[in-house]
Amino acid sequence: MPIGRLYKLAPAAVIGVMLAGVINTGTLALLPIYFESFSIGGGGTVRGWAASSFNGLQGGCPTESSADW
Amino acid sequence: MIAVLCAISGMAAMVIAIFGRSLGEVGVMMVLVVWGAGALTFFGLCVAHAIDRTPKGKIPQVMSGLLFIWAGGSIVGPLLSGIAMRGAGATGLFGLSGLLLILLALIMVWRVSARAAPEEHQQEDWSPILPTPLASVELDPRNPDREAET
Repeated sequence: MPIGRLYKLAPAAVIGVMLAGVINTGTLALLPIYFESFSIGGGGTVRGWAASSFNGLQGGCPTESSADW
Repeated sequence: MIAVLCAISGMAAMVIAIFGRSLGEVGVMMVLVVWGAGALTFFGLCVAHAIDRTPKGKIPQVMSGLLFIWAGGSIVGPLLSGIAMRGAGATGLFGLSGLLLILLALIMVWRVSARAAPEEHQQEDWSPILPTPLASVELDPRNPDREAET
């Protein structure tokens, strides 16, 4: 489906998924460099990734259950 | 709900951006948990929002379009984050994330006021499922548009 028609159908969803790509991929891709600035290195990156992903996964189900609020 | 998630996640990102060094590793991890709860869950809500407004026969086209847009964002994201980190150092990474999440929360509030959500009976049924390999999934053959044509 063309992006224009998709935008007319659900503009909030189109903006949301685009920014989801920008924010999540951008932040997680550069997380190792961020933790290097703390002099933590690879271990910190893994723990940081795990911390954010843990609640990203655990939070998914209740979040989507309450999405109709 | 998307606006609430983005606002909470955006504030968490701002806390990391501003106080990251003084929070230390453990503090950053704890705030990252809050950031993940918002930033890593709203994609699914956006997809559900689009599907609620989509005729049943058009769902695959809408899904492929949304994935295409998400992929475009995923290409631009690391580039923008790199520019932000080059410009503002470690603050730039979560600073950019926080600004974009707060901007998205404001856009969602604006959209809610511009167009009401579909009524409950217009929304698709859903149930939580675990990630499953495509090979073991049975595709739903129903397509009301195709049935009407034949």
